[in-house]
Amino acid sequence: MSKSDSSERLTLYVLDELEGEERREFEAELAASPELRERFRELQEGLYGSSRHLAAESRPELLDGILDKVLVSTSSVRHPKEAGALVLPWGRIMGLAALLMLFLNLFLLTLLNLKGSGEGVVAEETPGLAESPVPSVTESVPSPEETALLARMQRLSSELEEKEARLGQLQSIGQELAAENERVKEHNAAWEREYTRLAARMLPFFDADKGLSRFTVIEMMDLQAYEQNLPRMGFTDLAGRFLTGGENIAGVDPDAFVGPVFEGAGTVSAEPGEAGLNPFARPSTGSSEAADAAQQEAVASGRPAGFTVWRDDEQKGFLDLYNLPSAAEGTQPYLWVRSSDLDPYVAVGQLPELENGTGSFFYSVEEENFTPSEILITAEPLEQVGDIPSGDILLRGP
Amino acid sequence: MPVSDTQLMRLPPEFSPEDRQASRLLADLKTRPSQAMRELYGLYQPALLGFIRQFVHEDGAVEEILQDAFIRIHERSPSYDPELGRPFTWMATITRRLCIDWLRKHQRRLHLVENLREQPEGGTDQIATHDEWNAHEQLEAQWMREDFRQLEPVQRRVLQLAFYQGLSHKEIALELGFPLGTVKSHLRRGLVELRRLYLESEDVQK
Repeated sequence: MSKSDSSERLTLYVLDELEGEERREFEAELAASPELRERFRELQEGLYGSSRHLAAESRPELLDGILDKVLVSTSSVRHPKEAGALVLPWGRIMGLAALLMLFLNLFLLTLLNLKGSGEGVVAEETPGLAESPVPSVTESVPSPEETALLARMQRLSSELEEKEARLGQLQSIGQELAAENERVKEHNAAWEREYTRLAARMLPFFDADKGLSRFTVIEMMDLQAYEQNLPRMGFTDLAGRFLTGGENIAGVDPDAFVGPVFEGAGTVSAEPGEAGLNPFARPSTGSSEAADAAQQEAVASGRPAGFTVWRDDEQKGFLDLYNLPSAAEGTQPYLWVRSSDLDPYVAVGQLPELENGTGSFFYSVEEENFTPSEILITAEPLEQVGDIPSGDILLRGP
Repeated sequence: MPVSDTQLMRLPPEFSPEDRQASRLLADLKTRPSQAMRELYGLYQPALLGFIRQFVHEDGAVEEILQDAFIRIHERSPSYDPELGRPFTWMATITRRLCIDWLRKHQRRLHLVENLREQPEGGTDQIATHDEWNAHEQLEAQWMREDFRQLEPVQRRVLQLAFYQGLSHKEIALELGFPLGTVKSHLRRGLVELRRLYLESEDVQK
């Protein structure tokens, strides 16, 4: 076969113009020659490939008609054993029906005989019975309508199974989402309680009339968490957002906001878009249950943590601690701050007694225009605190 | 050769993820026809509808051919061989055959203007200008693919008659008044040029 002849037939084949014996011969060549297949593929892609991008509109309504016909053809070509439970065994059904009719005839015949009318009379009175046709098993081929109906039933059944499976999946996903939602709710509730407690502790720190000028927030963690680079609890973000009122607390309707619950404390209100903290006095609710619950939860989490908010204009700091480890015997927890890593630590003083290592207080330093950038709590020897930290680090920040 | 699971594991490397998905769906048509057909239809119905409209412009006929095409695709899916082309190409060849059958049945072949036969010999490169097209051809031009537009006029005309009208080589020769060898030559060159243009457009898309 010459190359030009082969090319000509390839062109014809690509254009679907090769028929009969010539087509079969060429397909045999195609199957045997990877090179020819490659050339065919290239020409065909060139002829048809760009049409892939000629997308017209979507026509989902035409699909049902296709599925009906596809499943009719599927049911008509499949062997009954393969066709599934919904394809009825017509041969057996019709055979059974024929047997039933035969028995019915015999029964009627017997009944008439018992009436004693004689065989001839029976034949005369029931002329149809003797000639009653028994349906043949070979007549059990279903009509096209029955086939179409069965195919439709099969399709509906198949779709039902698929939908049930999908429903099962969705229910499972729904349950997972519901459980996740519960976890998120619990998490949010915990933070809301913590927020309330935070507001109660911090609000006395700020002057209701002056608002807040420049401030610094430093989060603290224990040495192990620091060295292992564990995630922080997010106090900096929380306190920052709380204090600037840009989100979260500012979005809470003052009437709906319960807390703070400390005597003499206020709640927080910030007009939308207004920066800064604008506390106003609010009578106490007389209950400290929410704050107690938040504190208990913070204690229960077990992880040492804390943060400080330093207010430049007042030169005062607010320190909030959770689960501070107990200092070893003969030592005391001691607070240090410094303004940069080039400056020495300033000794602030011994921490007051804290219940379960959790609590908050204010502090100040005897330096002017001080702004802390680092904070440290160490276990220093009782009565022998030096100028620089020397004991084990209990908490550090940032 | 039907697409077996083994074949699916070693589909041609140039197959895109869509080609692989479609190859699997074609194989699945025998075991889960309903779901596989739904997915295949979702994947290719818009493209095949656009493809059919290059041949036939009557809405009712377009829908009829589209439905028949998917039914035929289902029937013939066991014969799909990935080594001979991408799934879309294979489906498009089936669809084209239905379009050509419809055109033949409804005698909608595009007859070129009679005066083309009266063109002097050697003037074949100039015969197929837009000015000479009749109204039907201008309608055809609306649906013409961009790569066809880029072909030389004579190659375009010959390929249009072969591909979109399903005319045989002899019929084209008769229709255009060309020698049979000239028709074959133009067809071959046109196909090679289409291939080149397709590869260029694929490169641009990549």
